[in-house]
Amino acid sequence: MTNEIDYKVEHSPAYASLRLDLKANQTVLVESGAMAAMDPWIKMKSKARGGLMKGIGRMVSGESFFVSEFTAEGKAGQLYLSPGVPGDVQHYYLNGNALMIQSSGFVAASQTVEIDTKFQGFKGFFSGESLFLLRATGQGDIWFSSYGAIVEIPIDGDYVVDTGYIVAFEDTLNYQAEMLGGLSFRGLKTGILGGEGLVCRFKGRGRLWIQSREIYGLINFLNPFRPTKSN
Amino acid sequence: MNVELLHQPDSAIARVTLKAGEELVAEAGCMIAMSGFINASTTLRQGKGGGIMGGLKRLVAGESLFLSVFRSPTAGGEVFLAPKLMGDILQYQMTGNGLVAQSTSYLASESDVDIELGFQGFKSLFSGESLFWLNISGVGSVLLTSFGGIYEVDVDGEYIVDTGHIVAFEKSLNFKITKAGSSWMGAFLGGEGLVCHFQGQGKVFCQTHNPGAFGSLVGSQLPPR
Amino acid sequence: MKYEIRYKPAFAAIFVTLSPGESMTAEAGAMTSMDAQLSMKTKFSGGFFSGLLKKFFGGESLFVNVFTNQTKRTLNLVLTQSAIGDIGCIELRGEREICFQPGAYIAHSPGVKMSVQWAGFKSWLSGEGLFKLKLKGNGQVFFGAYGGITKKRINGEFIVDTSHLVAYEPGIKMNIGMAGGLIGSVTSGEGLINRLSGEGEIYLQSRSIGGLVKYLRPKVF
Repeated sequence: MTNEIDYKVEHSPAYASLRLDLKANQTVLVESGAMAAMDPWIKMKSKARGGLMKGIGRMVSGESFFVSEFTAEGKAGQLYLSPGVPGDVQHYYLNGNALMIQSSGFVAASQTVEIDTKFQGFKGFFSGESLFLLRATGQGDIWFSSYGAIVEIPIDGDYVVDTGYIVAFEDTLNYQAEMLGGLSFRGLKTGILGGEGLVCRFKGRGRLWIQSREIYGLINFLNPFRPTKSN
Repeated sequence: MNVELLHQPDSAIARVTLKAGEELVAEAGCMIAMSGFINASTTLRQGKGGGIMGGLKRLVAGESLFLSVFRSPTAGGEVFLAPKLMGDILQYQMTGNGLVAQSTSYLASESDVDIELGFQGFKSLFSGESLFWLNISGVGSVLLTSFGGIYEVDVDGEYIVDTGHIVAFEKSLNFKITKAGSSWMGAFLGGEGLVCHFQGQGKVFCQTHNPGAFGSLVGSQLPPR
Repeated sequence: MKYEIRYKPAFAAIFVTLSPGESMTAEAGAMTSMDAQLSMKTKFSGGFFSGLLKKFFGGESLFVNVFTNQTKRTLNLVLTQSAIGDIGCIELRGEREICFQPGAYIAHSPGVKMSVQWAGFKSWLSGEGLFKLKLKGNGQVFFGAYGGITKKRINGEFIVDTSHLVAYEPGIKMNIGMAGGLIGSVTSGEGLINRLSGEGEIYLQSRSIGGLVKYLRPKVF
């Protein structure tokens, strides 16, 4: 796959870190808070991505409102980016086609890529689980992250995926979010987040990337360790 | 069924391929993806240790109340399973001997394997971990998970394992919960708390990391509940 | 003493083999499993007062455990850290010193000495701790990170997000500040950054607990 910005993914797949080698005066858009380290002549500017409405859309989906622009001023520089969760980073080159990415998976992209938020699923009654996707179009590089390792599955036919594990998929696939009754165990108030049985049914041909862990598993695990509110 | 383990040890997942009519029992909520024609049902496990009491027993043990059963009408049905936490998966072949596993380590098993809350829990006084153990018997494959990498120790004599690091051990071993060092001061302050002292012959499966320690590290910084 | 770091970088753990008479010091809670014949003694880390300083200002635990092989055959010990991630080993010889961020230290061999050094108020305000942990001597020191460890040699200036720095040579100066002015820091989410200057080696981790907390915060309720 071609790329415009030179990059290297280190410590894959557990704690992948993205190192971008920017040429002089090259700019890259980065998810807010992802910078780990950089050469001092790289300048940072934060912007509300895509105007106010789109920015709010991102906020609702759980992404932060802002995206930062990093430019290597005058000479080539290195920028190290780290996502918040342990996992992998994957590169994709958009060439006029469209890629759907799970909302919290965006890491970085070339300036020439357009990102749009779409709400796809249902808000689960008990868990608040819903399916938010970002639609990336245009021309350029895009990097997305996962929680856990990334497994690429070429789809040709009919496939069902739990929405919590979707990382990204090519727009050529038809998809539909549905509740699979046989998987839901929300009958009892067990206080567990997730477990709605919300799945995405894919049909057609295209590539799908899934991750090997799901964030609600971590959230439920951490819950008992949180400090309790004192009155 | 055919089990393939991918991405060990970081965030291992199991890719299970079922034969026609075969059933896979798994912890509810662990399915990542599956072929479109597989039937899934979430039930209280029937049979030994099943039914309402069995389900309640498992809830007490810290396992989810329900198990999902995946059934493939034709051959070649695929199910991808993932544990809740980052870590490894171990496939253990039950051959009629008993295996004792930590309650949160169960991922999936073939339908002829029986899972029961056998050993009574002993609360780890210092770290606040309540440890419950599952008594696994029967014949077939069982998939266990760990927090961290899984390493196997062939005990022939004596071996000590910190209680938060035990995944499973063969029932042929004797075990005793004791303090790690020679003094109680050490146990309290040395942070080791209680350890499990194994004696005899058999295998112990250990995990490199302690979920409780990591949970406190991150959980203590989250907003209060 | 022989050691092997396995399961890198996801869940690195140190598998140590101690010959008769050898010992190893590790922070409290680091022991995963060991041969029952090893003796373990709990001590105040470097003496009572020094230990207190380390606990309250350096972010390290007050106690360490010393594992000694008092038998006639080689014994095994497995050590780990509470965070999940990579573990690195640094060989110290002669004048070479290394400083650790709070929480990074795991274990060291007998020839190495730990000391606590004043880090400055700015460091404390930024949450780095008032004291730095410094190690020097002849032997090995093991440290852990949350994420993968990247070693980098700097010569001049380099900017690092404060939560991603793990270890550094003492000759490197730190200057902690805001990423881009008050508004810039809040909007960019970058928070505090550390402007390093000097010459020497630094160790970075590819994740931060702060980063994980920030990611999870909007999702919990």
